[in-house]
Amino acid sequence: MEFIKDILNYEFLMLSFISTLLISVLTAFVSPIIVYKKMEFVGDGLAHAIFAGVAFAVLLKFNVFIGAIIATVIFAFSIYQLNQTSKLAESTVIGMLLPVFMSIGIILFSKTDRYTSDVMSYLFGNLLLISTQDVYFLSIVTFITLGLIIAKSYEISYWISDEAMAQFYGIKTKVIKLLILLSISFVVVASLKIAGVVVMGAFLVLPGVFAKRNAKSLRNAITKSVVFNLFTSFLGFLIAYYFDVPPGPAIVLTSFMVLLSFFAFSKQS
Amino acid sequence: MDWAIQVNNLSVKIEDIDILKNVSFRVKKGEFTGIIGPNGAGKTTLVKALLGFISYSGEVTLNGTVGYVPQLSFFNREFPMSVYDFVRLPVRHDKNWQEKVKNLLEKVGLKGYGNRLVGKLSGGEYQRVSLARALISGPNILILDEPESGVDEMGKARFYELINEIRMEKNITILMVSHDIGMIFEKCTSVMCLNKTLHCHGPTSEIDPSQLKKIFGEFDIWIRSDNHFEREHKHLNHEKSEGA
Repeated sequence: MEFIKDILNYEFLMLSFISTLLISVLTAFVSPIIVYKKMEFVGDGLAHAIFAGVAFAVLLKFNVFIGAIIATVIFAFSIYQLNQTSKLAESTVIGMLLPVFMSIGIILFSKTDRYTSDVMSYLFGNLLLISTQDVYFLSIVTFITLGLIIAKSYEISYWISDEAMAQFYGIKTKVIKLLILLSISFVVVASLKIAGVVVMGAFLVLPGVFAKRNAKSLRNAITKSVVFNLFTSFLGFLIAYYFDVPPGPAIVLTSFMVLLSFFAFSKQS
Repeated sequence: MDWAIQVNNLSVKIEDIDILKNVSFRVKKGEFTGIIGPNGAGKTTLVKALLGFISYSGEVTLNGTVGYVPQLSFFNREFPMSVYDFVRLPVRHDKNWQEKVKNLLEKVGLKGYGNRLVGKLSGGEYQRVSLARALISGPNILILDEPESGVDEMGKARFYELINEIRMEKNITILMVSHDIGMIFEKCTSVMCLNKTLHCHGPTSEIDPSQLKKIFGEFDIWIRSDNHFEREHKHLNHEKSEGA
């Protein structure tokens, strides 16, 4: 009851609660795609790439989302281009670029006045950073990403399961790959203030791992993923509220515990 | 034009290594051609070049639409895709896709399999749904890449029967890569022996065994053919026991 009262009384809590629910739906949509296509490292790389863009925006005092979007789009295009043109594997390219982007971020942040507090906020998420504009931005990203994935679910399914045959029968697999990379980029940017850079990877992977078990189709996996994420995000948010801990890590730990319990239970039965 | 496939001076290089060198051939319409060769001979590379999956030098002309049955390992079997969704790929924009898929599944002996998951099918069943997908758009040319890999002996025999049946019925041109030399000589109308270059190409009855020994070695031929004879033996025994 106290939780509901506070949500209604404090705008920042209301905004962060709405953001958490929107992020849980958003990440639930891309997570099964990431897990089935074995792109877990891509999501993690994109989350870390944000850091450089955010630091750049903080230093030059412009909107952090714009900085984050620029950084992730550059990162996504770099992965795509280097993977297509060089003989390097996708994971190698990401492994190379991830520390580069993080290093740029740390160096830029060290030149700002609020070095420690800013770095901590963006690394682990901070409820107090969320504004009404952020919720609008998150809603637009959610609307576009969900629309794209629902409309192209068949093409995405074939791209995941058999890329060569999808291409042979006229599916533009390069376009699908680029769209998915950009979608993940936007999801990561939109989730930044709640999840933070460090634990973002878990947001992108855990629901997909849960949904993968006994799924009947990609859409079925996404539905399971949404249910899992809404439940664990709500529970994690409650834990963060009552124990006064950052919501991102609280949600990740809750998701992980629920996932472990589910695995243990399904093994027994 | 009485030919379905024409290839002139096809060469493929990967990292400066010749995978295929100056391969030229023509396949007549309605022919059932088997491509044989040792491991690393460039058989799958030839198929990939014909389908435009890889870059090459030379000239490839396919006179008609193509259906393709790839190797079993290409599909991510972890992914939950129904047989309906798997087969409808070439006709996904067609309003009557459901009816077409149903008919094709019946044709390949998998009636009622539409809602099953592709990842749960056996090797033989998977090859038959792959064949249904390749045939659903009514191609003039059918290209198969080692359809026997991952399929048990009985499954192989049934699959080859099915291919032959479809060829007779629809008069389509078939090009098939296979390791099963015995089967190739039994079912195909012509054979291509490939080992980076084309060593022989002609009607099955006219291929000289010494040409095969040259590219495979005697022991290898014996192994591959023996596999086939073993299968036939099992098949005959099965028929006998059913008759009894």
